Amino acid sequence: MTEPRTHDDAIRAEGLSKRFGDVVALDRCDLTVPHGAVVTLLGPSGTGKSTMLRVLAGFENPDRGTVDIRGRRVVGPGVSVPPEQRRVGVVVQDYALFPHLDVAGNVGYGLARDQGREGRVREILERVGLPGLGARFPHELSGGQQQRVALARAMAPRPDVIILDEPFSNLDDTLRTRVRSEIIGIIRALGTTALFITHDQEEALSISDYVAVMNRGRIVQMASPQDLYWRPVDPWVGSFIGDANFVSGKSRGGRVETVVGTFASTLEGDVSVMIRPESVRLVPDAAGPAEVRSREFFGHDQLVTIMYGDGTVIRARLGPEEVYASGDRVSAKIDAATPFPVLHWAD
Amino acid sequence: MLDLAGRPPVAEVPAVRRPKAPRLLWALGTLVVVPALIPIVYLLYVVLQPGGFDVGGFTSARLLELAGNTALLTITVTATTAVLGIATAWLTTRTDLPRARLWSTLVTIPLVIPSYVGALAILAATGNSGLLTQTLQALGLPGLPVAEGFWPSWLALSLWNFSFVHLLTVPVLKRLDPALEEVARGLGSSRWKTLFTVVLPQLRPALAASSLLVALYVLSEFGAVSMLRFDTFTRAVYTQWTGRLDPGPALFLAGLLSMGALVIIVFQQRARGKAALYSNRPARKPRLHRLTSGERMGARIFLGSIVTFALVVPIATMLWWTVRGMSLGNTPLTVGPHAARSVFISVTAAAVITVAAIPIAILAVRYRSKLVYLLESVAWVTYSLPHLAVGLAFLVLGVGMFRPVYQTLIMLIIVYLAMFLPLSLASVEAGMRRVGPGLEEVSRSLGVGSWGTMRRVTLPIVRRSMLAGAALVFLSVMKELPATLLLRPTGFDTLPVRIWSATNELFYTQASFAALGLIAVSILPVYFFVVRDIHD
Repeated sequence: MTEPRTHDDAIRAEGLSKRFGDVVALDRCDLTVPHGAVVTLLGPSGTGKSTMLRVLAGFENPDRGTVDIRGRRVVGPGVSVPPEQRRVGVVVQDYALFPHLDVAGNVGYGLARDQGREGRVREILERVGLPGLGARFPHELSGGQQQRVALARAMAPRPDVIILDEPFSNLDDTLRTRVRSEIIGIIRALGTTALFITHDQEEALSISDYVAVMNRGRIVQMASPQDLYWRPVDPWVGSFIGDANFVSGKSRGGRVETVVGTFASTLEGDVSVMIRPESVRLVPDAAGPAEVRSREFFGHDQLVTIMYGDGTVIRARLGPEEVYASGDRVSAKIDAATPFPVLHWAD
Repeated sequence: MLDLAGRPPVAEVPAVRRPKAPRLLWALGTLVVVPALIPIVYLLYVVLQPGGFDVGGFTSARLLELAGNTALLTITVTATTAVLGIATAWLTTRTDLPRARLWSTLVTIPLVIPSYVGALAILAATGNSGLLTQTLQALGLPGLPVAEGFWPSWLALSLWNFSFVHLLTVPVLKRLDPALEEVARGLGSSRWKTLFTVVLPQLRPALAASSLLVALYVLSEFGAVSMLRFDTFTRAVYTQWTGRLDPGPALFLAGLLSMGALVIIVFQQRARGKAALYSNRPARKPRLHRLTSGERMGARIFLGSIVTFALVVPIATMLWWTVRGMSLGNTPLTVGPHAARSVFISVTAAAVITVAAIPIAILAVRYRSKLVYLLESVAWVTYSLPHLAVGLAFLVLGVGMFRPVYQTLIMLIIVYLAMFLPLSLASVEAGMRRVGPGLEEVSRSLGVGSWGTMRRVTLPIVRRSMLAGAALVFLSVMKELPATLLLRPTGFDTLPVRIWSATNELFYTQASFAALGLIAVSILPVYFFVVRDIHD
């Protein structure tokens, strides 16, 4: 597990626990967001991501644990700094723009009157690509524009960190990718520390310096997107983060034997080997050990499902030009594989 | 996720995320509902107490006759208002009738005429000295006898209540999914067949809700039936009370009446629950039904005669009496003090009740629980009880238990609070829902404290809803007759009380002065907060 830490971490949360009645939302949860980084908190719904946001922003007090923001203790025994003094900007799912204020009123809301409010509002609206829209009202804006106003409003008072909760989930698919790269571009250009919260793996992997995977109230792994994808701490993270095949085998003397092939392994005993579909290459082979069962063609690539004699099923992601039909005999070459001890597989 | 902007909570952490409400909020919320609880408890006690209650000289035959009359009126008026309300709503929203919006406004305005003012207009238009009689006689036709009994009562309650059905049906008609009609037409169904088999059936929930509202109103109506001398329960309660020193029999009848209302409330609650399913707005505008020129003429005659009888005739009648009275040396200034009292008590009640609704509204929107639901239900039940029964309960209890406030303005305000709290409650809650906790939290995270957030975010957004609620309370208190009649301080005659007493003494000129004054004061708030709102 890679845990990047410096002395001026934007957020450092330790041992956070929070229950609602019988439901455990946070369970001794640790999270570090390095200064200047873009971190994504990723997890299935119902794992406490939003509770984490609410605790960090000060909308909710944890039962236990501490939170420091840029080295200042904001939550801890006897300490609970109210949200308005935390310098944590928040962009929520439905943007929560003030309906009674125009764009300039929304963006300038967190600025004191004597701070040169107008100038700052104009500047930040320009940065988010909405110059001249200050007099519009929220209901007159498109979804993507509302999104940028919410971002501008959160960033205007120059917070130490901004937290964005599922910020792209209200946009339709075509708009989504575009708005996402625009927003990330703005955040990176301004050097703002940002914590995104999402349940969308692709989104998390594509925008972040680090991804913190959360499950059942705990951070199970925090790593760079690439490390996370290829070196998950357990099969659950492995399959949550992307498509994965699992093949069982026995590992001994640095090698693991499976029906699909032999791989390097430092483990001993029963193992489960994770193979990403894109690590599988197929070769037509009349005497091959596997048979093609089905094929899903997506255009930019395709998924071909093959089955071995013992019933083991493997999915391979292939380029669009290869042609296979059900019943074809094939053999498979595996480029990369990650073995896990079988103990964890029960999860 | 917390429930942002009224969206259903996302699965994140289930309903257990519910912070505890501050004790002070609970205390205040409970306190303002106490007045509403008093009549419910007392009337139940009166009806259910062991050993029965003194029913005075009432034979069971007489009770049956009263019940029969009340039921007859309730059923016929409810049916008539349903037909009028739906026909006017459909013609003004779903056909290409020119000036549809103006027609819709015109058929909504009769809301400012309380049924008892309508009754006054009917009385003042008929009989030997009535406007209609004199007009007919001038044309060489026989005049009209004084209107009394069932038919005039039916007419008054139908004409001046169908607008409720219109108001509740228009938004539903506007939101019906046009795809359903297109599918029906595609399946070979004609325009008119589509109307009756696809469009109208979808109105059932809205119709059920508004019909029960009208039924409840007719059941408890007091002024019009008394003035038009039709023997219903309410009239019997009042005659019984004025005729005897012992209020027992009147109270018992009032209790029975309230039980009838409770039955209707139960139905109404069910109908309302279903109605919510139909409130999603489709992306497209519904297609308009093309009227042939003959149909268009028919529609104009139909709407025109409704407006004539519900609006033009009563106002013309009262104006005529006013002018006639003034030419005989009467001056409308005599109702000045009544108008001042009405405005004073209505404004005070609107302010008090709006403020009183705030704690429960906060509890209901932010700390929803079974207990809050119970508090709200108590308020709604008393709102739906006949005002005469509520007034009588407070009167009898007041003589015995609340001596210090009995027959004071404080007592009157408390009674209005018991009767009208839900009006402002519903509005303030709707406004609070628009704020959503998300907005307040975002404000806090932008560095603004809780008071600043209240001042800069919550209040500005809730203000319009609060004003709308206050306007509704103002109008209701302005028109309220039976409870005011029973509980007002000696000499504190309001406009409705003046209309009531002058009509009963056949002083139609004085009654018309007061009625026109009442309409004039009510018309602006009705227009701004009721009529205009349904078209936005």
